[in-house]
Amino acid sequence: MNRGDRWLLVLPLALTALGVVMVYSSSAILGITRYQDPNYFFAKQLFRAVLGVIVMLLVSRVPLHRLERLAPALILVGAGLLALVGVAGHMSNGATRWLRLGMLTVQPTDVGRLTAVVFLAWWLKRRPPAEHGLVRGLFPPLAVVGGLAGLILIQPNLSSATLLALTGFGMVFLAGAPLRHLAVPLGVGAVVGAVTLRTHPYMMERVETFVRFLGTGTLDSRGSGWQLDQSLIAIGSGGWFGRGLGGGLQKYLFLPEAHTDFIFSILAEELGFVGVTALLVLVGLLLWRGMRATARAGGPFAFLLAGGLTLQIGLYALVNLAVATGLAPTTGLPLPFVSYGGSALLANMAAAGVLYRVSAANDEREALARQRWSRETP
Amino acid sequence: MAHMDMRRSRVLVAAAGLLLGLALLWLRAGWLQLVMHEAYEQRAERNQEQRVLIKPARGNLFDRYGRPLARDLPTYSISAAPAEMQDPRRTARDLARLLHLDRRRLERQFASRPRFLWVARQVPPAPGQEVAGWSRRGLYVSIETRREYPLGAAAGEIIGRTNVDNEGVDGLELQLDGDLRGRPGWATLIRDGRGHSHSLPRGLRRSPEDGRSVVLTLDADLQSILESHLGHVVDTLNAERGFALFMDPRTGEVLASVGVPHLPPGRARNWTITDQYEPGSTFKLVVAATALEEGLATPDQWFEAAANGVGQVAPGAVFHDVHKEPRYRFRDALRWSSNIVMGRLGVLVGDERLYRYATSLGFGSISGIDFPGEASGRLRSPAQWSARSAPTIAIGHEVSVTPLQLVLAYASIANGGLLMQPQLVREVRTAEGEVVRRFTPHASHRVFSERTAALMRALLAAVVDSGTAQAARLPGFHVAGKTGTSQKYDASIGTYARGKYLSSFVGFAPAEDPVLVGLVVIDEPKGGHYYGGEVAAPVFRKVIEDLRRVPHGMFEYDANRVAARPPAPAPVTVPDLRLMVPAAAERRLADHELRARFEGEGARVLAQSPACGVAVGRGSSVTMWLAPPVDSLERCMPDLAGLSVREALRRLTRLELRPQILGSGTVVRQSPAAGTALEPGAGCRLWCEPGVRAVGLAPAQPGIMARNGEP
Repeated sequence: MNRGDRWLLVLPLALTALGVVMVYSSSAILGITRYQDPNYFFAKQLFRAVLGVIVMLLVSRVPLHRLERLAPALILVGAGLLALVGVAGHMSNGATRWLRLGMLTVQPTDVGRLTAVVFLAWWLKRRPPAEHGLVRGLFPPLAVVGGLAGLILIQPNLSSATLLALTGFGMVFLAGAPLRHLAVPLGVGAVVGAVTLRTHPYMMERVETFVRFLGTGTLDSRGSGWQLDQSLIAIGSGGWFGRGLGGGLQKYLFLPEAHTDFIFSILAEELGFVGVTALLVLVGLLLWRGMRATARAGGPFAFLLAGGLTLQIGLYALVNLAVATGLAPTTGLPLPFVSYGGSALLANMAAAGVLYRVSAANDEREALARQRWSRETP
Repeated sequence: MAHMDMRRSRVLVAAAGLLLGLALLWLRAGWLQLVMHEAYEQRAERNQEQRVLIKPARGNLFDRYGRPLARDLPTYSISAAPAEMQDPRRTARDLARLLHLDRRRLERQFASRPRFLWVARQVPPAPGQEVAGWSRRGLYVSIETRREYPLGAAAGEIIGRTNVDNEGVDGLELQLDGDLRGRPGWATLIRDGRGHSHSLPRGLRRSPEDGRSVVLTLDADLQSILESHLGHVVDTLNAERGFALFMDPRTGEVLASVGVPHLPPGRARNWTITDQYEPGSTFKLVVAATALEEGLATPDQWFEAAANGVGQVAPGAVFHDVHKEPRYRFRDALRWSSNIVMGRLGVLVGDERLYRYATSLGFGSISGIDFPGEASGRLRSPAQWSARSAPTIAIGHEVSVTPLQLVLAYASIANGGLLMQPQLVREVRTAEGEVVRRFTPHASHRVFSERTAALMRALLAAVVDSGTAQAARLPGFHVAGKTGTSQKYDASIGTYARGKYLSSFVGFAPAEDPVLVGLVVIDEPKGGHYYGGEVAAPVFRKVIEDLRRVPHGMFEYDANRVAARPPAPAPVTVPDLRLMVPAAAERRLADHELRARFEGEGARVLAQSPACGVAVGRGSSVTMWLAPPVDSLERCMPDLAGLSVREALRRLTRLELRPQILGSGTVVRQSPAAGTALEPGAGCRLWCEPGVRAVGLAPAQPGIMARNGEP
């Protein structure tokens, strides 16, 4: 049983390898400044990449029906971890997002977003929204996703919560919910988002900065616009071919989070438009193969699972790139497979493993169907 | 299948949305990276690059024995950013203890200026390094250099000083700035987002080139001895100022140059080189030595003076003697500094000779010493002299000199008749100690014969032994010299000011074989003492006394003394070159083993320097200024036909032609033809015939004459 879509293994591996290289290039200065060790971040990320490949290969061997059976348990684990963050979370950058589990620092958001997709696929398969109406078909799953998003929101982490909600919304859409029903969660989401912005001034400031940037093209380069400004300088100064790998200058503590949320900017600065194009092609291919697997999926569970995971990866990538290029308000979302960060990488690798599993099941099924067809029409 | 179709279409929508988003981002990246690239590139460079100058170390100045006279001292400056400190109170306490500051005040400053403040600047290395060793957050130690002058103000006027940027602004610091300054290096630093700078391994940089060090001719011992005695005299006599210059007569090397009081930076000047004054009796050397050299007087020759001390030496020139005698022998006249006899000698020597020797001794022109702002003194040319000028100048009035010029003149007597090129710099070395340039003593030319110089040395020794300068006498040591006391000219009343004197002494030692010549001038001494013999001569004596106590000083036996005497160039008298054609002047100079230098353009030498009759060393050069070219119309051959021979010749003289006249009477033919361009000094022929009617003196129009042409 190794007949799956090889692209779904190769592309995550390629992106991860590119990520490790870019993490090294963008974090060496910070490593020296903080830990007197240019390899500090690189070594950790390399270790996680190896771990990620193992996770991906392990997950790709898990049969889909077993995953389906595990779905209710998984959502409990995810919700439990997210709840635990509120109690025993580790503060960082003014938000509580991490859990220390012995040696590992886990970001429950990443666990939560994966389990949410599995759960939604499980639920929507059982109660297709098109058949069960708004109240009984749509509200329960959205309530669960909304609850998870709420737990993420109070960390506070508006962007991850929003993306989780968007993923859920997208899955309901894929599941075939009537379009008029979809207006309801959209409205609720908008209200919750607005309230959150209202109650968190720094988020509001970023949004205001972004709106002002869209309107006038100018940035307050000293205050809240600093990060975006430096990111644009990094990308813009890359030109066609960039400054060469390792030759970037913006990582000299100009661009905060250069190795995590803004790694794209450093990539654009060092590898230029050519490198950016290559990255976008890799991401685009991955999304395309993911959606192809989705479209070919046999059952509703596999279909929704693959669709949800692809959508999630795609949304993270789009929002991350939009933030780096100034097309979205500044927020801290990693670029899937590329950014520095353990849980996110492992979660995405697991997702890639599941996607491969789905594609393999598709191939198997189609091969069977072909055999049957050739047998029936001699 | 309806279900499957719906599913497929919704996947398509989702996939299209994602890929459309990616495409949009691709366009956005293209816009930023390709269209806006220039603007962002510029911002990135402005952001990150800093070109930092790395200052070179300024070169040191050493005295002739290698003792430092000016050097760069590293000092430390400590600044603080209290906001970054972990424990500002503790830091303030430690700093206060180490740097002897007031702890409470420092704490208050920390509280009021949390971002930045200077804790202490120009701290000595020891505490500075200790603070740097703490490496505490919020404390910054930077190294700055400070120019240090070991002799302090004692050598301030000659050494000069530097400004806050360590650039020379006056004195030798200014003169030698090009050597001392060095070349700054630079490095491209990367400034990070927090404002810290990092030197990139691949960053461009140029190492600084440290300034060169200069070994001066000054003697630090003599400089400080001289300064202390001069300062003492200026203080006790409440004088306006005092200045003194000492030199090695054998080499022309300046050993010490002092001015007191030490004026604040900006007003301080080195008077011994940049100031000029009426020398008074010290200038009598010129007329006395000239008279001896020219054989106009012998040391034992008697001269008429005046028993009442008042004598007329020339029309309108009535001189007074302090030491009254009816008549003097030459040697005694110098010994007692008789104005009347020296005035008579001035008349005897005559304007031209007096001027020639004074000029030959370097008076009236700058010596070209390596020092900024050298004065030339004032010596008018004889054409502007009156009948009383020669005797007046002979006794040192109507003339002003710089101390340097006077010392050089006495040095020429001391060294046997040679005018030396004054020298302040011995060697220029790189920071690594490699000698770049070395300056050797150089005699400009011979002024007096060895015999005259020896005679003068003996006469001047008598002045100290038993004359006006007895205050300079030393037991067991033979000093020679001459005093001077001149009334100061007050420009505001247009005459000499009563009661304001310049008292001076210039002398050399040992008298027979001098190794040191020096001038001491006290400006406006008060309290009744103003004679040079009373005021300035003792300073010279005390300096010599102190110098003899200095171990390994200049008055100990020196085996190299003979070698130190420079070879004397045989003197040559400059010929008269005026109105000669350049080529001829050059030939003429070559006959005298002299080199020619021309200034300007023209057919004839208009003026020359040195003037004719001046004695110069073989191989030296004579500068000639050429007459500006006459305009082109006048350099054409005029039409002379019809003119009388006399009128034709009159016209040709202005054209520098050598005409050849054939026949007599009126010009009938000429060669070259009218209108021909002429070479200066070319020849021409005029054919004349008697009987043809002379046109007369009325000149015809040149055009008409040209048309007439040759008959």
